[in-house]
Amino acid sequence: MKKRSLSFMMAALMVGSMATGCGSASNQAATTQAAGGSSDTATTAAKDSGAGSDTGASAGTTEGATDIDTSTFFKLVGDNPDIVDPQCTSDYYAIPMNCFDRLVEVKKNDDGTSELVPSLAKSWDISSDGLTYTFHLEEGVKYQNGADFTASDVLYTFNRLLTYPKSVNDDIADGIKGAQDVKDGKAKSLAETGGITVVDDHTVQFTLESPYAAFLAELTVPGASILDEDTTEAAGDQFGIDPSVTIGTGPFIFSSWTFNSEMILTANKDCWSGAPKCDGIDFKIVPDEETQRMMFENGELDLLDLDNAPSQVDYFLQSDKYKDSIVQGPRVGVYYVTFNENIEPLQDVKVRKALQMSIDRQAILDALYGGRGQLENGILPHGLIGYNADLPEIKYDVEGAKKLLADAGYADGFDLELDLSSDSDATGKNLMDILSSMWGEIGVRCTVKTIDEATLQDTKHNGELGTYSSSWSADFNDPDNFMYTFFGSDANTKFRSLNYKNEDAISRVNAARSIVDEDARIKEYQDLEKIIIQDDAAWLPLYSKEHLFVVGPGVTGFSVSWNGWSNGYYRDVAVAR
Amino acid sequence: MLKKVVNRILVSIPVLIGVIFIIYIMLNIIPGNPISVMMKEHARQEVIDRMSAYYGLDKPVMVQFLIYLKNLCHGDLGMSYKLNRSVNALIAQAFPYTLKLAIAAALVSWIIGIPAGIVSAIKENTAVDHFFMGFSLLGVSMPVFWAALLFQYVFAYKLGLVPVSGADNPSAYILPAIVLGWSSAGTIARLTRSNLLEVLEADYIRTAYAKGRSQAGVILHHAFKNALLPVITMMAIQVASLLSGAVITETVFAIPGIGRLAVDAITSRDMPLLQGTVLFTTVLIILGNLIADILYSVIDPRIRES
Amino acid sequence: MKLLRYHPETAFGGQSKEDALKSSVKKALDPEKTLTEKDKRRIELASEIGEQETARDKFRVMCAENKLAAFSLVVILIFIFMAIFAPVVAPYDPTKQDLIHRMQGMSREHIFGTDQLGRDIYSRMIYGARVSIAIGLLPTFVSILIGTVLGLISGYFGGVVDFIIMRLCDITMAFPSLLLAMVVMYTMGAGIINIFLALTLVSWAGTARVIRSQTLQLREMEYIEAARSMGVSSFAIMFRHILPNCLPNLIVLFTLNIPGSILSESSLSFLGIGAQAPMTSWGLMVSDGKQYLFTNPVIAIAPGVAILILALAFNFLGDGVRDAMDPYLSK
Repeated sequence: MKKRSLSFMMAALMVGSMATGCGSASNQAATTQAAGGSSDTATTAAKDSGAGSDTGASAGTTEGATDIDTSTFFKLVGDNPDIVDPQCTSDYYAIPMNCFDRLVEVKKNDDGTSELVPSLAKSWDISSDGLTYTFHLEEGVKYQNGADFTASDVLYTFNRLLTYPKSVNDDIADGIKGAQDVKDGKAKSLAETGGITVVDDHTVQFTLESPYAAFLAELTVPGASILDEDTTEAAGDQFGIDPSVTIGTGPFIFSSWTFNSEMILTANKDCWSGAPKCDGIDFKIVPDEETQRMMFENGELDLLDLDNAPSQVDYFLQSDKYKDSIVQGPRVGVYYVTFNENIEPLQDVKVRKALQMSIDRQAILDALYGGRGQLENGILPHGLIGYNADLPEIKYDVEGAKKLLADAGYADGFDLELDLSSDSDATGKNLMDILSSMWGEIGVRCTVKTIDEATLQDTKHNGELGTYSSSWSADFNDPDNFMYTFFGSDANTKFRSLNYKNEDAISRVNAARSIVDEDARIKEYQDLEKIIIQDDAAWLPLYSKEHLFVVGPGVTGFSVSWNGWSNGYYRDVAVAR
Repeated sequence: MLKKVVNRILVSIPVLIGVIFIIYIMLNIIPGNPISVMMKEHARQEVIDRMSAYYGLDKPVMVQFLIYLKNLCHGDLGMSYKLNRSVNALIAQAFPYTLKLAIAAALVSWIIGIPAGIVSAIKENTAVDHFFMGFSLLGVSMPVFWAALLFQYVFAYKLGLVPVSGADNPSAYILPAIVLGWSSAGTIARLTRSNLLEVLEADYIRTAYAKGRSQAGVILHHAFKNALLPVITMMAIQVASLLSGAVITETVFAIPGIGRLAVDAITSRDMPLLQGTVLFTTVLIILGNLIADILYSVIDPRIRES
Repeated sequence: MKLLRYHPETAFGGQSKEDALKSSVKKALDPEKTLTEKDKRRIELASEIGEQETARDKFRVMCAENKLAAFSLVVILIFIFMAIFAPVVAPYDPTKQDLIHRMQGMSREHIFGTDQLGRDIYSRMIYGARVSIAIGLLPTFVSILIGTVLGLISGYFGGVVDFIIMRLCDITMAFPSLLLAMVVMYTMGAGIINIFLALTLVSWAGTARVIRSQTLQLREMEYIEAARSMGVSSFAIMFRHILPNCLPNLIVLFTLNIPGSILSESSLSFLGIGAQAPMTSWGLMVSDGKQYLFTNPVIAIAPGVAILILALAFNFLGDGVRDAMDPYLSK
């Protein structure tokens, strides 16, 4: 009896020590390897497996090399994406941005403006009718596995965008001639429809269905990353999942992915555009925001995204230790609150205007973000091409709002449902609480309803969601990215539960896409913006925000991306330890 | 004995089928499309429809269920359609982290719970009893994420004794193990205390006292080992329940275990993954109970007869 | 010799009361034991109230004997009082925002200061107590009710009915309870009623198990046999003769399950599907306030401590009641 119970306990203890033993063993392996120069080893590994063999899907989810010494790497918090295939993710950009290149890139100037710069395409010509784009490609570019980059890869990339079943970024190629035929299977390739012509190994020509001024800007989005035909085809459905077959031309090589835990990128020393300044990037996947902050202060992270610690901004700004390590940039994006015109009494423009006027947006910006940001009065935010500084301000005027409500026949107010996603952070909840309180001042009785993310999205897409708040930040620097997304068609406004009814404005937004004259196009967008937001009060624009980061000791060269995204380009980041 | 084990296993089969069926039904009542969740703000109806068809989400529920069952018979838990990986592989990768955490937490709960239970029993209904029971009940009376944050704040952030989080460094498991272990120490202490109290009343203990042995001697030589029997058998169940109960701890401490997978699966409507994780933990809990039953009847002959 | 009662299934919900405990009174009456001061006091009390203790007498003994349990009861009653009379007790309107005076420290005007939206934390805690205590009591009570009925039926009738109910128990208990609650919340949507339902659904099975095993034993008792032979209906036997004997157990189960319910709600709030604004609960306050842990820790710590105190009080009270009732020995 005694023996048996003892042996059970022993067994339990042994398993315990084994478990901790495993941890230290792998640590040792990592340290040993440090002497050997980690990035080189990883490069070879990637090359070997990238040579074409299809690695099975059945292996564990720690993919790629696991014994990389990350001690000199740039450590930051990363998302836990489903897949990193640039064509299959519309939400996760860190790896598409840093391991792949695009034909054209965006460069942020010192004065805060941004411009399009050559990348894999060293130059381009645009025909005067705005229909034909001819790209002259860099020569001698090699993928991380040694394969050559050629014009046929460009054709392959855009064909795959349209036909790969899991592609979610097909809209990038939608404007190319014959795109719909390729999607429908009526044509096999954009080459067949005359959409893309491979002129020679280093020249490729795009022909559009109709002029689309934002086309060049759209080619800079992560979803338009150029893929190698042979590598990607050989990888099959493991592309974007197994690091060893997820190969681009970019400055970093995707080396290891421990699901839900960390993703490691190593430097591509042979990168065509020059080696990055750090040895690699270590994305740690940490869901809890307070944990992130403590890890940063403990030196376990080199970068803290203050979006994830909004309540701590003042602390860092005032701390002697950190106040000089704050890097910030404007987020080219607008925060807004929606009015669903299918919901009584929001169909009444007076009611919507009253709701717009009764919110003290500056107070909200101060309370939630310490005033770090700018009020927006339309759709196109600060920093975006087409931003209109002359748009009249939507004034905070409680008395005027009450009067409007009375005019509309709601002197006693009405009930309004505010919807909040269960995924939203504390700031999102606070915003809802403040809105209910401010609208309460004019007699609108708000209830905040938390709906889980999946249900909320479905309800929203069906056009049935109540009032909610969200934000949209620029994917590419063009008004089209904002105007068309929200107000480009009946389906688009329904999809976000706006149900905007001004058919004339909607058709003008759609038509504006093909205006070739740049000034006329911008002017049209600005006119429309005024009609939609100021005259029709289709939504309540709130503000655009500064995006603040705190950089850890020894880290230089970090800058916020042109549009203020959480993900950036990290090739210029250097780490001294 | 053998018959009992076989019987237990047979009884577990309807339970498993029930679990599979119930999750399936529930998940099909829940509104929400996994593709919408995946694409967030960038979702477009066209893509949602196309991807749903690609993953077979447009098939009737019963058809999907039958396909799932068929694969399950081959031990295949299916592909997670959000994560594009086989559920078997995801679980295989997450399990070691959760196992390490569960075992470390179980150790903590014994280290706190067993001595506290013994002392409390000896000093029944005194301030000492209340203090030790109070200490072990403290863990079960705190919100787990709150305790976790306070611990991180004090021990990792202020004192710098251990890392804030991390899954590969053994020292990173100390805090989560304390938080999770403490939350079940109260139960261990209760069990130890009540068993010891009962054993202390037993005839043979009285005989030992009558023979003039000291209190410490009696407790050590006689009472202790008999009182701990149920506690030891309890350990099998405890480890199983810790394995499934670590959801919040894993989230706060960023440990990539089964709990994180399950929460992700629920929020993203990833049916195969949720079914896989729940099925897996269910099997663990059933196994834990089975082992406990067997252990118990092996070490306690009185049960064997009945 | 009495068997050790060991129910592995129920032992880990914080409800291992099935283990027989030596009654303190019995111990006190035992001549072979050295008597402590407390034991002597108990003997006096016991002789005052006579040999045959009623539940109420036991309760009195417990209060006299176990000061901690008595104190816990007082604490619980104070919390309940504050919750019921929240509008009178609370100095401010809990939803009134003051964006200028945010995150104020403790002061005479605001005992615990103000939160991120300038609301009085103390007043919010008093109102939050309503939700938290309701979440502690209501789902626990309903789940005990359901568990008792199913446990009685299962134990009394046996056979197929027993098999089905017990397998339902197995299924419920095999689910990790937080995950099950999450699935329920997602199916039905967030909201206070749904929290009640979810928490009820995850906790009835433990009670059913305990009551079933007790019913199994009681069923064989002579007086039950007698009642049956006299033609008393099954319903009457179950609810008039068996149920009263289960009451001590039920009281213990009830008390000890309450903290679990309160803590589950805080976990659901942490995951974003707990109580809903403008309503607040302590769990929601902790989870919303955790981001200010570094700058204004009171926001997260005060409601957390409130949960801690209430849960601890219920745990102490439950343990005290169990020691006093000594359910298994007293039947």
